[in-house]
Amino acid sequence: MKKSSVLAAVLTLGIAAAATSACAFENEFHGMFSARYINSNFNGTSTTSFSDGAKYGGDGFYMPEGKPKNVFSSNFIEQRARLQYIAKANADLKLVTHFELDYTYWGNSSFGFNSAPGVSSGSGRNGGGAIGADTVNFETKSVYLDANVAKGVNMKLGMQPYNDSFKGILFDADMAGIAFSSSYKNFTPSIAYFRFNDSGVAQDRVLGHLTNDLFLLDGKYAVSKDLKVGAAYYLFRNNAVTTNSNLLNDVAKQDVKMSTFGLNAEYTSGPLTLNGFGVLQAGTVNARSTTAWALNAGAKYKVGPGTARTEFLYVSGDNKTTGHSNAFYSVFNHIGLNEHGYYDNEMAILGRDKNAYTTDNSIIPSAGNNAQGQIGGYIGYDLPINAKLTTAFNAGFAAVAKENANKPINTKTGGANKSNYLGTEINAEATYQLLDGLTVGTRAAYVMLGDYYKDVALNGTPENPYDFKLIFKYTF
Amino acid sequence: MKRTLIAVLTAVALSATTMAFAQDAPKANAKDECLLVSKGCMNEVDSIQQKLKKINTEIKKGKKVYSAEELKKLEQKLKEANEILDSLSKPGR
Repeated sequence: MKKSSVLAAVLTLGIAAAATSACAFENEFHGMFSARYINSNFNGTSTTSFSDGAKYGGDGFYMPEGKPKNVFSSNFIEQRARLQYIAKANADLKLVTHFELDYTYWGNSSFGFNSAPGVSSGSGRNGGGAIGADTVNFETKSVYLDANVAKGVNMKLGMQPYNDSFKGILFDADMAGIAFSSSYKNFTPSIAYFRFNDSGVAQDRVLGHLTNDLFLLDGKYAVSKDLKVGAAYYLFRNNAVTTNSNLLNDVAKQDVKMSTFGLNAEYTSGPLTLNGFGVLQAGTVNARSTTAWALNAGAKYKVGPGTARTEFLYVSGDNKTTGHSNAFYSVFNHIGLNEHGYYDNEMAILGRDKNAYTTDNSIIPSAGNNAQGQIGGYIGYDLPINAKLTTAFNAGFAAVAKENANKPINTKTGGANKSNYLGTEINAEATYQLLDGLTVGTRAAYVMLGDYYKDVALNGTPENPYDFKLIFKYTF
Repeated sequence: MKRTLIAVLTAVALSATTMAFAQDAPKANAKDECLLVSKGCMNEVDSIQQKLKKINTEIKKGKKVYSAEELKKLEQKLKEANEILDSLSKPGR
C-alpha cells in the first residue's frame, strides 16, 4: 500500500513536470502576403535588363542605350508570400526557418512551362503565376539555430540574414555561416564567418578551396545615451569560379583578397539625429591592387508635424582595366546579382526600391555602380496624417564618381557624353491601414534623366522613367 | 507522516501545473512569463503586431513589476520582434 502510494506520487510529479516542460516549448508562426500592381516605363520593360529570355522583370539594371526612346508602359501584378516558423525550446534556444513563395508577375508560367513560348523554362522559383498554377516554387530563405551558448554570448549557426554596419553598401543577404555576438555593458562585439560560394566541383572536384568567403569583426560602443560609435573589419576572400561584377573587366575565376575597414557613428540631440560612416578598402582584386572608399552622412530632424531627412553617399570609382584600381568592392552572388543595397536614400528608380521584389531595377543598382562609383544627395520628409494614414516625399540627385567604358554611347556623336549626371528623382508615397495587419499603399516616382543619358537611345534621348505601384500588404 | 508528505507533494505538483496554464493572461501587476522566459506559452498564437504590443505593454509596467535585468530581457525581445517584422518585409529578390 505504502509502495503504491509512493509510486503514485512519483508518477504524479512526473506528469506535472512533463506538463510544465510541454508548456515551455513555444511555436511562433509569422508571415507576410503582398500583391502589387505596377505601371511603369521602367520596371518590366526593355529599358531595364528585361531582355528576351529573362525570367524576371529585369535583372537590376537600367539599360536604355540602343533601344527606342519611347517604350510601351508595362502593366503587371507581382505577388509574394513569406512564412516564418520559429521553434523556441526556451529563452536561450530556438530554430528559425523562413520560406518564400512568389510570382514575378501574374501570368508568367504554369505546370513548369513559360507562358511565352521559347522563352525561359518557367519552372522553379517565382514561377507558377499563370492559369493552372501547379509549379514548384517554394523557396527557403533561411534556416538557422539561434542560441545563447554562454552568459551574454549569442550564436547564430546556419543560413541566416546578415548585413554590414554601413547601411547595406557592402552586403545584406541570406548567407551560410556562424556568427557570435555579445554585450559587455556598453560594448557589443561580433565575430562571424560566412561561406558565400564553393565552386570546387566545377574545377577539380575538391570542396573547400575554390571558395568565396567573408570573415568579420565588428564592435559597437555606446559612449553615452546620445552617442554611439562603431568599427568593423571585413576580409573578403574570393577564390571561386564566379563573378564579382565590381570591375570593368570581370573574369570568370576570381582572386580577391580585400580588407575593408570602417567607422560609423550616431548622435542624437533632442529632435536631431546625425549618423554616418567612412569605409576604406585595401587589397587585390584579380591581380589589381585596389584602394577604394565610401563616405556617408545622414540626418533626421523632427520638424513640424513630421520628420525631415537627408542623406549623402560617395563611393569611389575607376576608369581603367589595368594597374591600380579604385573600384569599390561589394558582394555579388555567382550569377552577378548584387547581394547588397543602400535603401536609406528612399529612392525608387535612382536607387534600389524598398518596395521592389523580384522585379528590382534601378539606375544605381550596386554600391560600386559598374566600377563608376556614385555621388548622391537625397532629401525627404515623412508626414503622418493620422493614426492610419502616413505619407512621405523624397527627392534625389545622383551622378557617377568616375567616367569609364560602362558609360553609354551617344548615338549622334558616336562617343560618350561629357556629363556624369544621372538624374533627379522625385517620389511620393502614402500608406493606409485598412485592417489590423493589412495596409494599402501607393508610391509614384519620376526621374528627370541627366545628360549622362543624352541621345543614348536609338532615336534620341530616352523618355524620362516613371514607376507607379499600388501595394496591398498583410503581415502577421 | 509519509502519507501527509505524499499528499502535500502531489498538491504542490498539481498546483504548479495549473499555474503554468493560467499564465496565458497576465494581470496588470503580474509578470508575463511567456514573454520573459518562454513559460506558459501553451495557447500563444500572437501575430507579430500583437507580440509587439504585448512587449511594449510589459515594458511600460517598468520597475514596479520587473527587475532591471528582466527589463533588459524585454528590450531584447522587442528588438527581436522588430527584426522579425523587418525580415518579413525585407525587399529584394
